[in-house]
Amino acid sequence: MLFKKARKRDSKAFSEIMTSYQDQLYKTAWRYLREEQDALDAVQEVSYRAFKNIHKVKQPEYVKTWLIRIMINYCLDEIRRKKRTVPVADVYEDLKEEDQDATTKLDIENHLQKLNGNYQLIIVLKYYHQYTLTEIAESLDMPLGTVKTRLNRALERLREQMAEGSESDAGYRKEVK
Amino acid sequence: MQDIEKKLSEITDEVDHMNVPDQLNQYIWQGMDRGKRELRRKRRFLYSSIAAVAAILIFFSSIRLSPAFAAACVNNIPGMDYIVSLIQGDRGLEAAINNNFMQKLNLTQTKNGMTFTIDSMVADQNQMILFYTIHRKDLSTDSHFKNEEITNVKGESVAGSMEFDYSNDVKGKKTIHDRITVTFNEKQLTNPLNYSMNLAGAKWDFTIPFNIDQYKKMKKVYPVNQTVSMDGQKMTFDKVTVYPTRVAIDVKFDPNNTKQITRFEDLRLVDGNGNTWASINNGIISSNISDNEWIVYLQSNYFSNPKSLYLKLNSARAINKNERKVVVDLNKKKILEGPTDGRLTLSNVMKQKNGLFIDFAFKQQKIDQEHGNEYSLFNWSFKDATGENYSFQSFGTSFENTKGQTLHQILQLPVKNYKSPLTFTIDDYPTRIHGTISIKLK
Repeated sequence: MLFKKARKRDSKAFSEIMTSYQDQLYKTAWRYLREEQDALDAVQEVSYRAFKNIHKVKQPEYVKTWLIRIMINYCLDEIRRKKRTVPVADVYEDLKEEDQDATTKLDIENHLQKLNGNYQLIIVLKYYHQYTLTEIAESLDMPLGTVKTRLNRALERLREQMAEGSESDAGYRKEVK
Repeated sequence: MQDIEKKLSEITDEVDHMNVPDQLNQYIWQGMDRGKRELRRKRRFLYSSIAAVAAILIFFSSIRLSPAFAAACVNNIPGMDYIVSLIQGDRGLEAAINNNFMQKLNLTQTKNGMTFTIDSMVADQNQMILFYTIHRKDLSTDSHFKNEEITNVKGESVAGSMEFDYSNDVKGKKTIHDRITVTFNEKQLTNPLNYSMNLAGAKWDFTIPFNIDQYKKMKKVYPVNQTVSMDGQKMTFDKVTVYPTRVAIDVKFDPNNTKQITRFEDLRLVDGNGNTWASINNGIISSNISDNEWIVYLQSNYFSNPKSLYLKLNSARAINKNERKVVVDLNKKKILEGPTDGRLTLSNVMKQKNGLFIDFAFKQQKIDQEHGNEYSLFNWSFKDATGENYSFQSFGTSFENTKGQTLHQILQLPVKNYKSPLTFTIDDYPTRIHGTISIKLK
């Protein structure tokens, strides 16, 4: 009932749903952005996007996962926007000053955040939000077997990336004439 | 595998025990309020465009409709949602679409597992905006296209400039919606026009019907011919031309000015009711014919018929003409000559295989941070000590800390044996001049 009302953009209903997930969303944002204010801004933005697009969500079971996915996408965009450096990152590592304000990310999270979106989502759902595999399957509308396979692949990918060691991605945007 | 899972489980614990700030809930409400405000505007826009199609004008002329009805209507117009987001709040384009000025094209082709459809177009004799959809079977196929060309029937290119990549998040998406904006040059526009590009390893050609006869009739010109000044810097506004998709303002600067004006910050049209048409978000701000002759663009008010209309300006960025040169010593990694306010420093010079990277650091003030991404400090062209001209092909922008106080612009120069020092020219710099300019157009 609450969901139906929220879909129709009833303020009270929508805000109740968002409030129930606010902590989870904030924590996810913080793991990506590492700064309290940035994470709060992320929550605001996701709340805004959710409000505009809630009509797209078919069933209440899907809402939480949908919100987490929006949050991850937003955070990845933010990280990319802030780090638009042209040179290869590791050359600059020792030259750039240590960022005083933000807490340094764990190495594994740096690699996690470079994974393919679908792999990333499954790991975040399981390890940040403690979804069971069954819950993941239901909310992503996927067979349980697929979830298991995908999770294993994601962990495998993560292991490979960490073994390689380097931050290979140069996520920059070129401005050309 | 196990130690990865162990590390991830440690994260689970950390997340579990993490504290959240007290003001968190406020941010939920703020986001929701923002959505509500936009939805109100969007509803008005959507309703009136449906009205044009349905032609049940009396029934739709009132702005309030029940939410259920509105939801039903939105669902019946495929593609409207994404077009609205690609317009990005440009009131002029909204009005154009509302007034039946968008043409459905539905030109679709499939090659190599990629389907490219030009869905619709909004165009006039000044520019053309194409809304398209890409559907790719394979996520690994690059959805970015190259070698775009728009030509007339004589085969001449009619494109003065083009903009793309309005939608940011294409990774992992099989279906992508985006737009292309083409500003026309002075070559003849014909019916039809041809659009071609390379994508997914194939060449694509589209014939675009272009109603040039109709578009030629659609413009309003306000002759101005007034010279005004801001902080002693003189500028002459020649005329204001209103096209259906945007407004073009011709302005010239006095060559005797001591400062080079680099950007108008709040140039806008205002009508008698306080409605404002400002510059276009994420679009071309101006075509600079030279340092002293510009065409500046604003959102269009073509479809509104105000009783009175003013052109207003209060703030512009400008730099002393004699401080525009930035001379860089490559070996000492220092700036030898440059703006005297001391905000620009050289952070690093790095020679790598794919380029010579010059990293400039710029200290911003609070007001600059709001405009942080708007300005590229340098012109593409630079010289070395022999006087030889070169240009750099790209640059990146980054911020030194999350508060964005120090902006870095890193220029990527081709690898060559430059003779140090190099001389760059500043194209845009955030020192400001102020004034109260208000020109009556109507």
